[in-house]
Amino acid sequence: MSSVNGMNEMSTWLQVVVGIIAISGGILILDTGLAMNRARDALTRVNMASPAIYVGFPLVVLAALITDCALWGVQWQHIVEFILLVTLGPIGSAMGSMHLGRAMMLDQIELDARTLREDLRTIKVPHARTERASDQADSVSSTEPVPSTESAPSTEPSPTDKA
Amino acid sequence: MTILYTTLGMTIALIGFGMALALYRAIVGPDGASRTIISDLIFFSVLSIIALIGILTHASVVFDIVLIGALLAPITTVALSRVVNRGHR
Repeated sequence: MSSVNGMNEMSTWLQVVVGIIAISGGILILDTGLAMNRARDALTRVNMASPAIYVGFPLVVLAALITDCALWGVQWQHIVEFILLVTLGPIGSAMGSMHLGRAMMLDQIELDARTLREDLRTIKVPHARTERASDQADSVSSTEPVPSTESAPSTEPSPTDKA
Repeated sequence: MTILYTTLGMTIALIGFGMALALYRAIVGPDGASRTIISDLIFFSVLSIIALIGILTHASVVFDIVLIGALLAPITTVALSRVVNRGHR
């Protein structure tokens, strides 16, 4: 590597590696933009945003880090910042997504009929039969008919009513 | 550096196209929750473009900007989800 004004020259293979990493991140973000238009409800869109936020964005920042280290030498501050970015960033985004999902649940947004909620209430455990039936009756978004149960209906309010 | 500039330019174009698609859905989108998650996506896309511009301009300060932005991004999501939820906790 030759040095000009303190800045090193990048080799060709390193430029290709950085380009591949950056383009991979860009493709993931583009893919997420496409997925936002193909998804049919907000819950699916929240799930579809994961590739760009958790993989695409860190890949682009990784390309920036490699370029920075190649041009200016290895700087430990930038490496620490990158590690913080790829560890704390997804944790914070997951908290935001969880809060958004909770808001959607409380707001009772309309879901597409093909969207599987897969929440804990659909797990078939014996002691949760009556509560599951009452929750399905309360759910506005559910398009399926409420199954009849042999036991008496529960008088306890659903979690959405408590909130 | 021609290869690097070309690939980074292509990446910025890809991200910009993805942002345009997401913006279209944000304009058309039927509910506020969709707009909230799309705003999150656009936030990270802008941070990615800032990082790429930092490569092109040889600016080392972009790591600080990107780190602060990425750590503050959940605040916007939580705030907008409060709006979706009409302030209920």
